Amino acid sequence: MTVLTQERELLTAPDSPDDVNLVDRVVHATFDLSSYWSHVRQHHPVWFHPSVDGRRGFWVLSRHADVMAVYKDRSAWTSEQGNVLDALTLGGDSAGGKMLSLTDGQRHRQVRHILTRTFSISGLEALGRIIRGAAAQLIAERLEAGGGDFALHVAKQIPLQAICDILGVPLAERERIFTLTSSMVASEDPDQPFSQAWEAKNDVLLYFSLLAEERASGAGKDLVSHLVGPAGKNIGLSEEEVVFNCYSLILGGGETTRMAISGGILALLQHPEQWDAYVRGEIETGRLVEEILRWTSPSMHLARTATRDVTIHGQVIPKGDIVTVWNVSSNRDQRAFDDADQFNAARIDNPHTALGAGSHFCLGSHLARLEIAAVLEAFRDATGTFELAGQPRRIYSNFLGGINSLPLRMSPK
Amino acid sequence: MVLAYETPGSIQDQLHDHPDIKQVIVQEYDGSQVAFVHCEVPMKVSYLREVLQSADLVPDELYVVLDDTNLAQLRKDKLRSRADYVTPTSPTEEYLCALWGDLLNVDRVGVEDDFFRLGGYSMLAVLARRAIERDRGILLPAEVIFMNGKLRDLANIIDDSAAAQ
Repeated sequence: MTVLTQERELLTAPDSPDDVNLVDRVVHATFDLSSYWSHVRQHHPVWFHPSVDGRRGFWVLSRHADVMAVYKDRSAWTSEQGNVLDALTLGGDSAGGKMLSLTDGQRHRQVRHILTRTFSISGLEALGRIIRGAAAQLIAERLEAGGGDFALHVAKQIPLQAICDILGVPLAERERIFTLTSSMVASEDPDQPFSQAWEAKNDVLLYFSLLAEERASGAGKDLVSHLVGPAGKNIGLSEEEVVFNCYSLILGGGETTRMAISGGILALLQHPEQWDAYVRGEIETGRLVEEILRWTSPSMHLARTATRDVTIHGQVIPKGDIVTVWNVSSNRDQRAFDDADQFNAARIDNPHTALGAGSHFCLGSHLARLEIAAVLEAFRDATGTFELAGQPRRIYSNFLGGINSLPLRMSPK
Repeated sequence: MVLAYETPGSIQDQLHDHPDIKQVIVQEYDGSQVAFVHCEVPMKVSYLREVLQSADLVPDELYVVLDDTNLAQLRKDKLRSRADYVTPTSPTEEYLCALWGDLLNVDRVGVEDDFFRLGGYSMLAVLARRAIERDRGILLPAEVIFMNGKLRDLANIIDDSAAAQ
């Protein structure tokens, strides 16, 4: 296998934290921030990012141990004001307390409880067979065609179809929903106006508001019916909570995993010796999946609000301040990983933070791992050679990181 | 319950027995009488207006306050977010004033008021879009809601759409 070209050379970012504006979505798509993060981890482990464009400033945590500590401490930090930069620095998330990921305490346990079964290993068994079949089918189509845009034709389809199957979104609606969800927290266009993201979000909320009403009998087998039916009624789940949680599931289920799948295939393309080892059966799919999650870290950061004064490395973070924890940095922290800057598909000790940790640990972790593994195995079993047929393209976002275009030439075994 | 006045007034103290109302603060701003009602539990402004009316208190504007820790700041924010009251004239304006007041739980919405400055967030915009479709037969694109925060502008668009149909 030959590698024609590498991913577009990213510009090297300046070392000083003051020279990088983490709010700017174009920064994350344009610069290779690895030396910046290495510098920040070493010299500014608790750093205050100043206010930009009239938004509130926020604390930046970059070391693996500090990121994990925030995820695991339920008392010092809350998600109820919001859990991403944009919502928090613009004054708080209106879904606070009404969406699982933005709810803490007793209510969080109640809502998580009624969702857990669907996303458990046993709950996903039947869907897993469908996903593996779909992955084999989509890759066979690409091999038949001699290639295609892997991000669009494969990586996008698997998570989108799976989460839509779970929610019971009809087939005919899925392309439109995908178009909307892909511009809610990221964009293909660096100049996409703020209003477009708001409008996309509003149409998705409207869609699920109508779907929830349509499923009001609660008799269906899909997750929306489950939420509006007895399970939701037992805990007094409001219509607003149903809609906000559907929004969260379609975003979490559809957007992050496609970044991991595309980024994983690109990493194998750039490390042909590891691809060869995988094909020879020397690397377990499970290990490769974890390394892809670490390497791609599609959720670049998450954020919390301090519920009291918290001291980290001697620095006081006052009650009410916003703290951001950066998975893209913690997952490259040499304090936690051997050869952290190397992609190593056979990595054994891999405590990455790509799925978070603690009470808000990714609800869809089994589903994400299942989807990535299904694509990797179908790809391994059918593909002989593959190479880049054009430039991979990164999305513009300060939250979601990865590529949405991966043109490949592919030939079968 | 305590009635507190920042400007002198002569209103009877008849609200003693209402268990969920902790305090009513009445203040005069530019000749308008504004009431801030501090409640124990969320209550509809339309209901509170009736309660105050029973005590012969008929403020020009009424706000519900649930958490008094930042009452002073809240009062400033509330007043800053309100446009000068302009009464609705067309049926569509009257319809929207009632709809917004209900969705946002804001008293006496005027045609110069802005949906987002009154606290309108995404989900409330969804409910507004659904209500307008139900009552007026027009599903407004999200863009129209986003670009036309001012009530008068939105009313004009609804009337224009209806005329075009």
